[in-house]
Amino acid sequence: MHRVCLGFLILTLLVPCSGERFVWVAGTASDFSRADLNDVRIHPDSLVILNPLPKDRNLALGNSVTDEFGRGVPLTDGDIETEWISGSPKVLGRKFILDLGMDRAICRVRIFAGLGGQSQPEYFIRGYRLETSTQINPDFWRIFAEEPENLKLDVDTEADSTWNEIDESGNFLPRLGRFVRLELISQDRSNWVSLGELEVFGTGFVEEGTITGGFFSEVPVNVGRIRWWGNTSGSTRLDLQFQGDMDSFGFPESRKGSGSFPDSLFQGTEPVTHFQYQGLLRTVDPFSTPALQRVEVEYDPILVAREVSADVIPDTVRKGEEATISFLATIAVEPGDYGIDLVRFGELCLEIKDLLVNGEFLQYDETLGSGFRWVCNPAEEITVVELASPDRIVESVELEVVGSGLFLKNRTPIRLQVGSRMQAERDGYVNWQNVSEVEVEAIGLPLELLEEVEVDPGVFSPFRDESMSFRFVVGSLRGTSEIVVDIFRLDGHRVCRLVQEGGARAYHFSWNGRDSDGRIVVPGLYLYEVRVVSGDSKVNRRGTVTVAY
Amino acid sequence: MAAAVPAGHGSVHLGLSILDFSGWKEQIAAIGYGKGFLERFAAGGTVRLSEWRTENLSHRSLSLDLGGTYEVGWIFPEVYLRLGAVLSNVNRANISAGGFAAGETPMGTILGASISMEQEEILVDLEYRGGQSQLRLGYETRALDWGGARLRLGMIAWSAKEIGELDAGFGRNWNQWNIDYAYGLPMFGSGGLGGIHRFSIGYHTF
Repeated sequence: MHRVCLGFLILTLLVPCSGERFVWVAGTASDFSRADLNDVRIHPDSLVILNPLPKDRNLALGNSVTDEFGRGVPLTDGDIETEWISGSPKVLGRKFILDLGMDRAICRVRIFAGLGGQSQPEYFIRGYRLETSTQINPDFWRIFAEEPENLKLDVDTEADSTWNEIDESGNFLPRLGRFVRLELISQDRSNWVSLGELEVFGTGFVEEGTITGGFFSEVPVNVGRIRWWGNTSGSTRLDLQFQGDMDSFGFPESRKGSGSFPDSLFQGTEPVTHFQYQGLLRTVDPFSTPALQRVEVEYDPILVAREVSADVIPDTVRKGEEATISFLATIAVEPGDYGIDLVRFGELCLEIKDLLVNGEFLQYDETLGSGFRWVCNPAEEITVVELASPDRIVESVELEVVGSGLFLKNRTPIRLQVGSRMQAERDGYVNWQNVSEVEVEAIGLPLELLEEVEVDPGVFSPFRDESMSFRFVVGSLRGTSEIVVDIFRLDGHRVCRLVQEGGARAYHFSWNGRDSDGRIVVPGLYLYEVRVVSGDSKVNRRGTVTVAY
Repeated sequence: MAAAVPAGHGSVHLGLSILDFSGWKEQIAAIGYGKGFLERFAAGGTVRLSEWRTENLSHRSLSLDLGGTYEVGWIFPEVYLRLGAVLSNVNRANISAGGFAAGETPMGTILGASISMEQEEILVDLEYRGGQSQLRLGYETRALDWGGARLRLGMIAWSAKEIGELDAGFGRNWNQWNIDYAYGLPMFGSGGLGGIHRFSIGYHTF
């Protein structure tokens, strides 16, 4: 029997039978009400949505105000002591533009005189016009309040009833806008004007809110697939993040649109006794809110291994050179655990040289009759080692995996995961148990954006060779980019284009000797170009390839 | 390299092309003959011997072109029209050393027209080869006062949608010599390698 706490609620669950899965669900108003709600609320339809904007929240506070010359004016610092004083009675046409940061549904504006104006009551605004413009059309201004003969020291569009659009009930209609422009449309021939603070109030939804919920478990569990449902529009966004015991919030999953989304596997450290999700709801449209409908988390109280701790030697290598490293893992497996027959290294393509269990070598066996085999996916930078059934790890051992790889980044985090074929067959997917990350530092001079290109074979025959290879290293690339290999005839006509998306790593492109219509090209000399774009930098390398048959 | 020599009532033309780069060697030798028939017709043919060699592999092949022209004549007081047609690679030569079907080169059908005026010439070619069409347009003028130089503009279109290449060039004659230069800019699907420079030098013995 395993007990899982759902917030403050304790659920008693049976030991899973074959095919049975444990799923924790948050999908009702009752479920969401146990979570921490921050600027979000639960809609009666059991949706989590953003809170309405408080009527007394000053949207202008902290945002920038500039005059018509682009100079900053201190009207939104919450302090009337920092004021703008005209310095002369000639204020006709002076303008001040407030940027609220995003479109807001504005329903009220207050303008306070500065400290100087408070002591010199004649320093009030003689006449004003308030206009707004939206984010997508910042140069199109629409008036929402105007008073050419103001007599008050402090202006309040609500109290002064100067709002120009009112509904049938006499309520001010909110005006949509990101920018608010104050123009002084009247002046007195002998008195200055003092402005201390500009306040804007709105309606609609707050711009951002979070919901944080999850479950506790009395026994450590492996978190598996996570699914969630929500509604978003073009101006709203819903992001979910997940956290295990020892992690900070991270491993984010973002989705746009509505409905359910493909399963994703939990990426935090496992096993966990406390799992949390955090939903981030955001909007740039004051009248729209995203909605979170449901969260489902699969988990398994049967662990792959009770505990796995890992280290890497050496943890510093030469950048851009093939380096051999050893992963040393101390594994604790107890009766009742699945045991380990799958090991995965994330964010690194390794060529496995040796594998030792308690100091004894296992032999490589492609058929997996005994020993181990491995496979590397360069595009995803993942290396997976499989252990044959007789060599499955079912007790506490010391595991050492020796492999070589190319380290191009200053720091390469390597995520170690362990899995079980038995669990995969039962659940239909591998619920990788995530071990803590190890890191390898690479030192040396930065590599070029595009290193030398190796072409093999020198003379290619589509009838003899399966394909022709282009191998090269993309060095100092930030983020990911499109890597393109083009093949041309001698007259400049492009025959074929090969594209991969990725970051700084080794690349391997294959060309099967066919053009874009699938026809084998005629024998001859062809030109190739490898192209990498990184920000404003673009590098290409060209050469020739020979096709002969 | 090419040469044309009068022979009988027609002319013999010879050509040789050599490429040797990065382990790929290729030679093409061509010999052809053309002659006028009747008042307005002319016809001829060219035989090409192509050879390539690389590492341990080599191959020779023969291909045949047949063509003809028809002098339409003066269609306007100062406008002369000539039409032409060519069947290129009539025998669909196979350039594969192993005789693979993929090495078979397609036959091409080319229809052309040239419109000549006092100082200008307009050329149009339409070629169909291997399931693809190519339209070539050319314009040359000697009207500009560049000391006798001629200006050329051209365009090659791969299909109705794409312009394959835009060309511009100029040439000049000095006595029996003529020099030509053209710059071609590949466009769209064929782009990526940048422009192409073409130089030619010719000599007339008569």
